[in-house]
Amino acid sequence: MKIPKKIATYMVLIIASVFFLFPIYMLVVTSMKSLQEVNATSSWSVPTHFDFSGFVTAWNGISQGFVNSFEFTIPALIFSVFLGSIGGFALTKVKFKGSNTVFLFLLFGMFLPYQVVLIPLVKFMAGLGLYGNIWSLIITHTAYGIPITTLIFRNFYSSIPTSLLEAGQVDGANTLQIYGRIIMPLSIPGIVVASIWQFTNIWNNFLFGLILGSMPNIRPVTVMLNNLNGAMMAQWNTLMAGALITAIPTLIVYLVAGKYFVKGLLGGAVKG
Amino acid sequence: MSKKTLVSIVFILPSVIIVGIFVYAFIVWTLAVSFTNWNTLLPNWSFAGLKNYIYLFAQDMRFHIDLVNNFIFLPFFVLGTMVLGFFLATLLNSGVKFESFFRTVFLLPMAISLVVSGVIWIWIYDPTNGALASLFQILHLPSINWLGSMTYALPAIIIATIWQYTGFTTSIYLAGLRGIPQEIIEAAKLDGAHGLRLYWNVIIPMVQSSTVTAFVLMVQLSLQMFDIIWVMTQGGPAYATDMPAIYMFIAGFKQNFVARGAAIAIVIFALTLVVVIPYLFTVGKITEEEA
Repeated sequence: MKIPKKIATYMVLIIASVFFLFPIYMLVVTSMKSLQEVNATSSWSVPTHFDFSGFVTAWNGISQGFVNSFEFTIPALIFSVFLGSIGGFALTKVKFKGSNTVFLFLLFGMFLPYQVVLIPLVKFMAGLGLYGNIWSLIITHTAYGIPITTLIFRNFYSSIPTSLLEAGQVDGANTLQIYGRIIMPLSIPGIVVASIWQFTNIWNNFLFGLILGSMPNIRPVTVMLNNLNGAMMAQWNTLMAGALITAIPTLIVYLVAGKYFVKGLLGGAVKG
Repeated sequence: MSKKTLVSIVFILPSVIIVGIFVYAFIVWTLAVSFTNWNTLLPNWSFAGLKNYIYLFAQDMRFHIDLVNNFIFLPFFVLGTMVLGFFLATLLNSGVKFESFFRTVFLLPMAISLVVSGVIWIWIYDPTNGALASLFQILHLPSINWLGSMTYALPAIIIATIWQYTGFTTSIYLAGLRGIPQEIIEAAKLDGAHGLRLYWNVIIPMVQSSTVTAFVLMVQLSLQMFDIIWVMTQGGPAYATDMPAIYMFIAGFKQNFVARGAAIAIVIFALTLVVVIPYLFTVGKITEEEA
């Protein structure tokens, strides 16, 4: 009785794995085929000969976006992680009157349907003279990253015993010194988690890029991939190559540091 | 004011100001625009009262279709991701080998952009050469234009979104299951709770907070679902997959019906508040008790 149950469990897990991996498999094999080989009789099969012409065409179409995405993702990641860490620290370790209210005030931003800010966002950036400037995307992603990074750091600092901090206070260190000398070094795991989460989130974002990335010189790779999708109808090898190029940075991060990605994911799934 | 308080204010103030502008002030701005006649290229702040809302709810067929689509999409997506997530988490928690491999596989779609997923699923659903078309050819079944069909386009998108997000609910439930003390399970088993009864009476109540979290997140995602639909169908064919978020983008940014777009956005926002506000209240209570 015990053994069949185990086997059934593995069977179901394997079927589920096939469901989750199969689209990725189609992505990878199709990207390495020639267009002639992309047809109904062989769409499932591995390439009979490798053809990377799809990558060349796709790269010509989206390389600018690939560079643009790095140009706003990295600064926005740094700013939002920094603001989240000092905010999370203030909320947990130097509690002040109303800190719980401030936390909820920030947390609310996590559940914001972005539709409700899109129109003002564009007008605001235009008003600042930043529309079409890479800073519009950097500022936007920083702003909407603050709720999640603050939450991640708040949960992270809650797990650091306050006794570690009191030792510093006894020696006459002020809050800034405590942050720099004790919290920062202890924060490395939190910084890694928040950075990985933010990198994935910002890189994968589409909506803000669609609204703010009207000029090709700042347009994100996700928006360029969608345009490629419109321009390269039925050129499946090129489209899959473009999709793979777009996915590679976050896929690498996930496969290398998946453990931290899950922590960010659950760090955002509020524990209170 | 003590120095300590001052420093903590300096630490939190930038975030409060930025979120104050980009979240709260922008919501008020959108709300204000939704009460104007700004359905033109150039700003028009003349007061229109509830005109835009009345139009949406009383006259606008497209908006009615969008709401129906959204309320069809929502239960399938929410239940699909939650039931599948709970089921897979239970299997992963049963002491299987290669557990971390399976976990990595299930969560993989969460690491890639919805635009990438959308493009892959268009290819899978392609009626001439796609993977499903190949399968149907082998089975000698007629080819179906999934995304071009009034019947199948919405279910096709629901499957793609369940594929994308199930790893998320699986992770939430797995964390919840791991948090149940083993003694409680053993005690329940000694009391004669086995199989489904053990789940129904002990395990499911014990992961209630995971259920609430997953529910709130998935409902909120459903109400603002945009990226993957925009990439796959742009709301078509003939509005079969149209949603309020798609219409909001079209009205506000493509057709210069700015006030109408704002009104749609406010409706999406109000629907989101129905689940988020009670949730934040419970979180607020928990944090207060901790403090």
